[in-house]
Amino acid sequence: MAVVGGLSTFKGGHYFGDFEGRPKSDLQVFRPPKRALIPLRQQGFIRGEHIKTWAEPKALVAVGDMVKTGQIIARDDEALCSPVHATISGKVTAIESQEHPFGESTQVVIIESDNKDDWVELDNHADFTGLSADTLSQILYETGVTGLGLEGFPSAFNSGMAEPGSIKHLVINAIQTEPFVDGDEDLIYDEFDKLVTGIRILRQALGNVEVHIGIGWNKPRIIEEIETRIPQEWCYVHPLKDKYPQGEDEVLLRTILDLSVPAGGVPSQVGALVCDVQQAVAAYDAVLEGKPFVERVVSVSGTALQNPSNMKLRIGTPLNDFIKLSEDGSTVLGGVMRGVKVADLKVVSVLRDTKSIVALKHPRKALTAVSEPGFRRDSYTNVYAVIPGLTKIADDGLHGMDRACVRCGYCFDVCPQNLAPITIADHAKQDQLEDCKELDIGACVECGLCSYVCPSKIPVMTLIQEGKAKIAEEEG
Amino acid sequence: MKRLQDLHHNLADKIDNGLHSLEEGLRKKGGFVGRFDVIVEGVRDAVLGGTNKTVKQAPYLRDSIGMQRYMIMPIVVCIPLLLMAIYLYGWRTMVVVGVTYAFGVLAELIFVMVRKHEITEGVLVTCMLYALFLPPTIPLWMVAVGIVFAVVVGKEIFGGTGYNIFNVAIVGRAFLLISFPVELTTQWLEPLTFAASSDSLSWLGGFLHFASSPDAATTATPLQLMKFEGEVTPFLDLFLGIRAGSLGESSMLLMLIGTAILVGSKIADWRLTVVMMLSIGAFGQFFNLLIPDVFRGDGLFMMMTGGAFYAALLHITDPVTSCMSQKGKIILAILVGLLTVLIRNLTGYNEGVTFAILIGNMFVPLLDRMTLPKSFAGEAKT
Repeated sequence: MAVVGGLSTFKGGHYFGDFEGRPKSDLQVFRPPKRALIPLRQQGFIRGEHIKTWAEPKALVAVGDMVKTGQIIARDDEALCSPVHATISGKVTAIESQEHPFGESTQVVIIESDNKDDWVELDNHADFTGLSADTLSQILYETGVTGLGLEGFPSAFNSGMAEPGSIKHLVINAIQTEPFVDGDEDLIYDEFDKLVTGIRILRQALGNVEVHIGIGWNKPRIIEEIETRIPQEWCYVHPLKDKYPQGEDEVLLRTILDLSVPAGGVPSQVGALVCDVQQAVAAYDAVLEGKPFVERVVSVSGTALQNPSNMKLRIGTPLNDFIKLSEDGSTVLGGVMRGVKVADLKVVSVLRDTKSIVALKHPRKALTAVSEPGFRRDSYTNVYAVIPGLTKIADDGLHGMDRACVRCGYCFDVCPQNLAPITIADHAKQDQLEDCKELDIGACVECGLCSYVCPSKIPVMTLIQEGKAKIAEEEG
Repeated sequence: MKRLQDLHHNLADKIDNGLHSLEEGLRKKGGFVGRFDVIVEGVRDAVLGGTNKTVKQAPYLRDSIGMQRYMIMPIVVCIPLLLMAIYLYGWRTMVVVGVTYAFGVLAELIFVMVRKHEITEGVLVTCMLYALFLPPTIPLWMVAVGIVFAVVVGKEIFGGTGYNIFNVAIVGRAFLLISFPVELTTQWLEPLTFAASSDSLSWLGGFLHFASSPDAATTATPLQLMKFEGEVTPFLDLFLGIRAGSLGESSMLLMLIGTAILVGSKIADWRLTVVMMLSIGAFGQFFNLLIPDVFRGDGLFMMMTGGAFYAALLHITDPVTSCMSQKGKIILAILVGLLTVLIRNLTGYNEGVTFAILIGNMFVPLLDRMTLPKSFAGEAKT
């Protein structure tokens, strides 16, 4: 074990400060819901033409069936997906087609709870070191742990995009830089033992590869702890500055391993696989305790919530069970930078890869926007007299008028992939798709910083996404 | 505190609703009167810089800076320069600024009403930069002609703020410089602080005067003194700005403070301001050592005279007419610095920075294409 390379970071990006409404430090465990809505479609960000759309496994249960917690309710070993589990015990009351929050329709299995929370009985392996990689990856597949992450975890069952055996580096992404998200931090502190063992399991399932841990530099105690607990030669810890979007797979790999993922590609193309803290902890639960992946830590935060906190939630819990908006605001599922706005909290539920749910207040009209000192304002520029140490205020306001691009170049400066965002967006808007490709539109990781910094309030990232969609459509 | 905030927000709501209904009313009337709705909209935007518009697409968190805050920063930096100009040349400076704003905004309004797009903040910056870059004796009708030309030909016929290829204020100044060379290059005034009197309040300088007396002798700028008479203006005078020149261009001290504000707040990129100044200094020094007969004055003198610093702080940093990529900004700044030194010494226009910026602007589209950032993504495996 070695701490390599000192403090590393990347070109571009933006330091978000501390926002009001960040989760409080203690992890709350939320009870199993009365009713669970489990969408079957497995959503990953579709980036460019190289990545396949994630698939939807066939439902194995019918309306009226009784299910136990952790029972597989949908599975398809041919398609690129992992099994879906019931997250509460009870009766399947409906299987209906619905709009997935991230677009396109999906089958949703609705389970009414019987309030018993009966778990399925699975083998647990207190000593996993004797298990082969194949056995381990089978366990991970059948417990749904393989379904996490951008491209899934490879196994013999087509659960990830990578060929099993092609992975040389396992990268544990333990840094969260998006505003309002720090669920991993709670997991690291609360479940440290599980995390360490989980990393060993994931490594063993990949055939004893090298492990790299990217972690915030401001957690020296954890870094030291990992050093004492994993003393082998195969684990490297990389302390990183907490600049957004450091946690993005492409950016993380470039920073710590100097590997460049091809435009529109996935990390496994360069022999690396990125897993997050949640996945390592889930691997422990799956192998040592025989518990399928049915609950996860979600940062439920934002200015419009009375009690922002990190919560351990069953997947499929409808949002209105645990979100109580203190005033009129909007709720964003999946992180404030790249999530979607949820219109109806009743029909949308926690997904397998939901790291964050943020509720932001609406802004109010003010007479002082141009002249105010802005002690708690958040901005890429330094035009506000921000007092260091105070938490910043966030709302879902546009903070300005729609204007033509003044070519300030902020989007060039912040782009972590060193692209020309507004130039690409202009070409995409005018359907000049060849120019878009020439400017490497596929390399965009959709971190959203270009839209964030724009003083003319141009939705740069949205235009680029539309351009990508047009290219995908053109190529069939 | 909370109650005070609520009061403020409610007041803002009331004002905005009032203006909104006025705007709607005008729009309903249609015809000529209906065209005035853009003015009400402009006032509404200006008064309520922060709207309560919400974000429609991800990311749902947006930067607090809007175009109004962005555009007000150069004006903030200009206010000390304006006070300095009053101190040096009297209250007539304010009349020049007033005439500029009146005609500049009027020209913008007419275009906005005809073309039915919204009023943009750019014109407010343009007027300020243009006015402070004029000689103190400029006739007022010339001020008006120049700013109307700048706004109409420099900006509006290209499509408004964001689409112009030349710096708008510089277009106005260049137009005057070519059309009225005598008024623009020979009628310089000694600063009023020089007219030492027995008055105990004489340290107030121009704040006590409207303008220099009409029969006051004209003088030459430090660059002209150097070029034609080989006379060096003392360093301290140059640094504080007690020398003949355009209204706001003279004080290096205030400009340094302005640089700290603009560059520190990221509104102006240091790659433009700092590199352009270094380029002027380096090329000035280099040519001075090489051909001292033609290139008079060393690098430091080149940096501190004329409108060099003023243009480096406020004109080249105009985002619309400078490069977008960081590399492009550096190349543009070096180019403009070189052109400034060459034009000053090799042509009849010894305040060469105006044309240097104009020529630099022409290179921007080319530089933008040449310096597109190279993506960090790896080569795709086939």
